Amino acid sequence: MSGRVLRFEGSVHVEVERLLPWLVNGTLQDNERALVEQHLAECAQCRREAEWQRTLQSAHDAEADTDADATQAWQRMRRRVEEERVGRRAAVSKTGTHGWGRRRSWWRWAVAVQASVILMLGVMLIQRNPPVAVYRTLGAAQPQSTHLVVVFDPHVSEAQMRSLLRAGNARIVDGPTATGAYVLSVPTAGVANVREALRAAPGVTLVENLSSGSER
Amino acid sequence: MQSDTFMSGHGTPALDEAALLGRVAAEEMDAFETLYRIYRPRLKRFIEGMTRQPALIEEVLDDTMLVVWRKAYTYNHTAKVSTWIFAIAYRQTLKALKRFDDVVEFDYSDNASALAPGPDVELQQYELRKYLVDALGRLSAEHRAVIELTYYQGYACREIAEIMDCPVDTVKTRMFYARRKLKTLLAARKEAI
Repeated sequence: MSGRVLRFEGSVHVEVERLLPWLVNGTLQDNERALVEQHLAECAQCRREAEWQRTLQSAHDAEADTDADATQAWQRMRRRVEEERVGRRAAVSKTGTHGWGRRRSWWRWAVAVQASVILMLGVMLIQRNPPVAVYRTLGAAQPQSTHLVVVFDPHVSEAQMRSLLRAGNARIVDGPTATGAYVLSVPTAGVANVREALRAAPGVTLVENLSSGSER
Repeated sequence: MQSDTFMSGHGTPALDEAALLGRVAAEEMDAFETLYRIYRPRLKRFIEGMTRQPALIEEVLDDTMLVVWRKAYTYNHTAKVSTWIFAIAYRQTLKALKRFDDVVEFDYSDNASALAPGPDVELQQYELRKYLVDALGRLSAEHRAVIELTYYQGYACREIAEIMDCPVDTVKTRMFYARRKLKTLLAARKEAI
């Protein structure tokens, strides 16, 4: 990699100058970062340039704003998709077996057959290995929990977040992800109420069940 | 345990977006809503940054997500889901700009109130932001895309090359010229005041 970097206009300085934006955003690969950092230690011009780019990045970050229209926008998107689905079904029923509809129904059949095979194998496995009795003390009993994916508003305070989690008896078990989502563990018994409460709470932009069959 | 599948290969927790996209391919509306809500803020920001035309943002965002819905079954795991979605957004934005022929200009100076500094915001930061918005508006859509994808969306150079469907060196060159022009514009603006 560094060989390729050095070939670029034959100058380490020129190549480092071109790599600086990705030093600033922290995505350089190790060998590139080593090259850049080594050069920065001896080049005041590149150090000034890196500093300017950090200022540029922080000014850029500050432009972020909240998105109050997300739910309305989703409803619009959903309508568009539903309309397209209806149109596609109408087209399929007219033309018979062309296009998407056919490919997808074939695909669904394949998944259904695959699922039955998996189920059959599962049953066979259970029959071969009879269940082993597990003894637990009362203190070790674990209430069943369900996972929810939650995205908070970027401007929500830590105190607000904490109070939302406490109110729902929820714990963060994963996150924040690259997209700012958290995975919460919530007692299964009250998950529907917690989900609705979070959806209604200001400062929460998305709440979904992690499993595919989310209740509605 | 289900949450094990929600760790990315880079050691940082990440939703298994590939699995989510697989469910979108199977036409699961819940999965599509999750994906839409996760990506909407980032796409909105990217499209806004690239077009500088508020009138186009929602339209291009919807077009992008509609392509994601239609083409989810073609995702082949060679790139990250986010790179795949941003590549669609990039193409849809270029298409929209071509359609509008870049003629609808939006005067961001009219929008100054939206950028007004709050009591906690340094005036210097506010001034730089204001100049930056103006200066970015004078760059080409491709140059703005590279700046957005790097400084705001945090993509690596190689990923930007995938999104823009061009060689890595082209990304570096575009970024180099974008920065140079930005600097010239910001310097000229400061001198004029």
